[in-house]
Amino acid sequence: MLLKLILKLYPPAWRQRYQEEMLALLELHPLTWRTLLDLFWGALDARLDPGFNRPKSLFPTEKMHRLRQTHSTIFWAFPLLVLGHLLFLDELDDVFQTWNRVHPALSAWKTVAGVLMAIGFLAFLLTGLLLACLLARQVLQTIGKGKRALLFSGVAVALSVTCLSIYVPMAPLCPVLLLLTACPFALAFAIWRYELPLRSLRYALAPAALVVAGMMAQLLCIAVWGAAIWNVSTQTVQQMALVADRHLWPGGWWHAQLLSGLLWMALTAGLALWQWGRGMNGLRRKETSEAGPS
Amino acid sequence: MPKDISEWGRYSDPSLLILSSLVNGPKHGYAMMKDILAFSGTRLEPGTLYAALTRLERQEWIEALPTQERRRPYRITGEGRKVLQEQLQTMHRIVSVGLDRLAKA
Repeated sequence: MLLKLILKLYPPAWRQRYQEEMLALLELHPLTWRTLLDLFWGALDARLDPGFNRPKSLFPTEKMHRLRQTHSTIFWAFPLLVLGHLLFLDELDDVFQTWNRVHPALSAWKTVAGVLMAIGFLAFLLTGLLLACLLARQVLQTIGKGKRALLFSGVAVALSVTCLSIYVPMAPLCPVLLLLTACPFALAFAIWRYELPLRSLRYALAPAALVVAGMMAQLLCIAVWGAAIWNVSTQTVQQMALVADRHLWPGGWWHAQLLSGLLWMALTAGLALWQWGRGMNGLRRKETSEAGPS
Repeated sequence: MPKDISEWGRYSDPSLLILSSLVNGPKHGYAMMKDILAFSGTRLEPGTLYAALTRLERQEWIEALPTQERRRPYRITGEGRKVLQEQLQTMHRIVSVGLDRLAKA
């Protein structure tokens, strides 16, 4: 178990070629600290070796694992991005409402980014529903051993439907917000934990691209908007906050507030983009047989 | 990767030991480690062994044979023999000159 874990440090191409024989050797070799250190060093050497890091081929299981990681990451990164916006930038956005209105170019820019984000959000809901339904079907087929999966996918389906309800005016809103936050995380866990058909995961990459594009658009919008308002004096911002009845960070630290929000969003959007790229890259690669090289 | 084995840094000595071990017949990883320990007193660790094997295989100085019960034997190629011979001759020259100079000093 420990040895397999250590060998995971080696690049996939190396493992594909040498893992079995290395494991057979390690079963005979006494395991000491020196051996462990040597294996770590060997893993680092293999990682730095360009011969093992060329995009060659992937096993179907690796491809599946990568796609699941991609979707899972998008499903937790998207709500975190929204959460970051709410935590750091929502009040700041309200404070600058009047200022935005005076600058029509900036206002138009924010509208475009808002539309892209809304498209991303719809794609997010659509992908979520699709994957949640697939998970539920998968579980129904293997109901004997998949009780936990049933629980997670059931919750995910229910919550995805609830998410749609935000487009319908209803009160009270709090449970909906709570469910809205909980739903994607449950789904991200279910996708990461349970198998889905490779083809479905592949097709789901298309709406996932819209989700990632929406996240990037939002990030870009905030970055440009932030650059445009950067030179506004702290005194003016505090006055605008008073008029708008909004509370910014104490001590006139609105620059730090803006940067924190940007950093948070950059991290979540960057992670989602990176994972989506990995998923696409995995799809482009040739598949090899599970039997391994002879 | 450099063609000259002496430029392989920390893997040049293990590579020479592996080539020397394979001269008298194909061996799998564990057998090589035991053989190298017996004839040189060097205890090669698996990480180093496989890093060197990778390099030797890529240069086609050794080749992998079909797996036998999860173990894969390797054998030295003609090119590998030539490289080993050149390296050992260089070492032999160094040893001779060194010993000669020591004797005269």
